[in-house]
Amino acid sequence: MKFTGEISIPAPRDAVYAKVRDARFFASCVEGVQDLNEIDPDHYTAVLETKVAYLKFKFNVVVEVVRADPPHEIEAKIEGTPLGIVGRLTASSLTRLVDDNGGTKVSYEIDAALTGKLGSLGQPVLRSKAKEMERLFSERMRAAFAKSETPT
Amino acid sequence: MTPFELVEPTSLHEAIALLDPDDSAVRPIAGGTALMLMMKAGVFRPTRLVSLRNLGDRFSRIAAGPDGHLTIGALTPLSVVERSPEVARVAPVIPRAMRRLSNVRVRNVATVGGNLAHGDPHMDLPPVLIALGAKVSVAGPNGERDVAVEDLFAGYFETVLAKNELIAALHIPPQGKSRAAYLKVTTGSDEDWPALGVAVEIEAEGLLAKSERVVVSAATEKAGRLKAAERALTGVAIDDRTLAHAGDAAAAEAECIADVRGSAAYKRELIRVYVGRAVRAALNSNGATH
Repeated sequence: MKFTGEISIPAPRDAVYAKVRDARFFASCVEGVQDLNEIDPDHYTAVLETKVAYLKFKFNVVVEVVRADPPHEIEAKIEGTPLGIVGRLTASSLTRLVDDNGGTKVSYEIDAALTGKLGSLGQPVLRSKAKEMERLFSERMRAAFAKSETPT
Repeated sequence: MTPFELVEPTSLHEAIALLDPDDSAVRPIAGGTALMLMMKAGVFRPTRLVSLRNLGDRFSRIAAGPDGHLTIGALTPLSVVERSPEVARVAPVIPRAMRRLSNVRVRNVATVGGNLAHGDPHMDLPPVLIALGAKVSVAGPNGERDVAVEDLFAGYFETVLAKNELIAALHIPPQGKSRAAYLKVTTGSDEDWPALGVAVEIEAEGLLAKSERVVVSAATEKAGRLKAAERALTGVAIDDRTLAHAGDAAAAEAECIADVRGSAAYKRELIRVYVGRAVRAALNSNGATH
């Protein structure tokens, strides 16, 4: 299951890269992330909760930054163990930053797979939630940079 | 399992009052065959379940009007619908579809209303009911309203029902000269959840199609009509060429989703082939097969 997208941010690439690489900021842009814990600068754990209708899916997530090439690319691996349901979530993501008329174009590719009982139930859930999560993510990213641009 | 409250109201009014319009951890439960699976899977943790079992006989009756209109109480078990002579007379496609709907143990317990309110796109009954032009009576704190089954589903496991509304009855209009069929495609065992469900209702003079409904389920986020495929069939003679054309239109229109039963591309090809087969099955049905 692949998700791709692009977000334009009116800020220089170095600044955007620094923000995206900051796990706390990044997690604050993803809906449903709680209890982010930094093991080391390349490894994090968190709890991800997502809801569709009356169903709730909760995962213990481990994120590993596999490759960081500032200020161009970040490659990460995500492994999730669902709470209360048999299965596993594995995903890889590639985030690219490109200069764009003084601003930055952030493009991402996420390849996610769900196995076990989680796969039959959760895959369409994840897909139907993905659009909403992407929309919120880009809104929060843009809002964060709009805020930092405001003179104090 | 975390503890929860189980309440067993004896009137519809009382049941509605026990539901919470703002809390999705409070749910009605009828047969419970689907809800219990969600609870066992740990994706639904209720704080209160409102059992509908004691609401009385009037919600588990089947009545046929002299014009062929059929009313089925929402708490009627699927196996009762399957064996009902009234249902077999008005809509023989329903008992035919039921034989491969889960297994007899589930059908003995699961109810018509629960099957619809659950909002799972893999259910076999919703596409059939959409094809038949059925509607449901929905009861809520402000009285009753009618919702076409076609408009009931809002997304994956989501319906347009408010959290404190209940389906009270299902209404199937007279079917006249229409014929219908439902084809279920499983990639696992025969009675498994479908990778694709296609329901077709068609009224034809000889081989000339006058009106039709083409409905797809399981391969998509929710059961729904494929209007482009319907347009491709309206007013034309049904032959291999028009069926292939309708299949192409359906495959282009349906927004397929991938899951453990197949990729989106695979399901799109299934639709391309099975829409034509379902139309043929409906035309050849005469209440006998499929």
